[in-house]
Amino acid sequence: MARPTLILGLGAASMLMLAGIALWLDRPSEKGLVTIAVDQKIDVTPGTIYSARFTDMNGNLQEFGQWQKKLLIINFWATWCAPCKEEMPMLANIQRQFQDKDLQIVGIAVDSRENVLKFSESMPMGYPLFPDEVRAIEFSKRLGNRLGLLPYTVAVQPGGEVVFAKMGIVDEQELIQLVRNYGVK
Amino acid sequence: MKLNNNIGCARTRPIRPLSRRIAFLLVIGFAGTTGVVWAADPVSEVDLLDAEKAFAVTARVSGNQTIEVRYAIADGYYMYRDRFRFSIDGEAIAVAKNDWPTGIWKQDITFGKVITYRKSVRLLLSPGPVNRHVLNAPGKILSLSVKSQGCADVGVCYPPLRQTIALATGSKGWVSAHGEETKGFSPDKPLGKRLTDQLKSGK
Repeated sequence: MARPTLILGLGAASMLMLAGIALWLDRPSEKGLVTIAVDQKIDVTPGTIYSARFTDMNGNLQEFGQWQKKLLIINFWATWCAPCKEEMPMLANIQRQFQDKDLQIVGIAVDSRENVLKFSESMPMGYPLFPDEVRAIEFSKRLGNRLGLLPYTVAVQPGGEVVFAKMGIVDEQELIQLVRNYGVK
Repeated sequence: MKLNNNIGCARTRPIRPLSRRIAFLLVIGFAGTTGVVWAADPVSEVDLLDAEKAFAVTARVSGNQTIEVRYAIADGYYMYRDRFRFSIDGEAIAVAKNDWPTGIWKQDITFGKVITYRKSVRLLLSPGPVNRHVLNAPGKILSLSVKSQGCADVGVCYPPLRQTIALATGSKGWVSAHGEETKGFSPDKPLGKRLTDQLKSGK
């Protein structure tokens, strides 16, 4: 084989191999996970998610089971977490964009009610916020956030399967794609 | 036969400019592809230090009136001034003379200007009358509770970190939250070096 052809062949093979690796890295897992922060299976039952109850900013206890027919996006955050506050307007936009659709975003704050109130007065979110300094971290750990880091976002498809989990700021397009992939109408 | 000759010639011929250009493009394509894969990676736990390593605290009894607390903050991490809390047996302890070290101002949409610390921070605490009395009695153990909170530049924050340090009065040695006597600060290492060491040690 001529040397230029050999180089081209090797180059093409390398590209194909890299493309394969990239596709493999980006593959959905058996459980349909799109992006996951850590290399671990999130072993949580729908019952654990839907039986969770947190008190909203109006003092009403809300059970997550009310959203079991929707794509439920749970965002863990805190007022002392700058990256969290950076991504929240984007979450509010997505909730607005899919208002009255089968999507529900909720924000669970590892924070005091006083701080969350102060924050929501300056930046209304348009989706429920649940401040709970103690149980919020515990719940996020149940959903795969081993170190309790913030922000942490999970998406639960109708029926209770976790289909997305990400530590750090979520990309807007990635989230919109996820919402569309899960048939939010 | 002619074909074989051509092959023979090709083996001895230098790479032609066009081939070089194609090879160059392939290399760029290779770098670009891998770059995209890396850039798309989410923040992973394995890239982050445990909070106790990112914000390593040590303390010591410092004179008859004060306790000195030091945080060695890993490269790429920072701590919030307003999130520090100290107490002994439930009694809150303030920073002596409210003399906080100069930090770095950050604008926050909820709290306005906030101060952060990087690399290290040293705080002198002034216990209340009861604990100051104990501080002067040798052979006693003071249980210092420290609460702190910090973030990593990669875009995540750690939950509040609560630790307890057992301080022996009459001793001037630095003690970590694990009860180990230390020399105070460990030399700062770049995050990459720390991670390499961490991976090598398997911890």
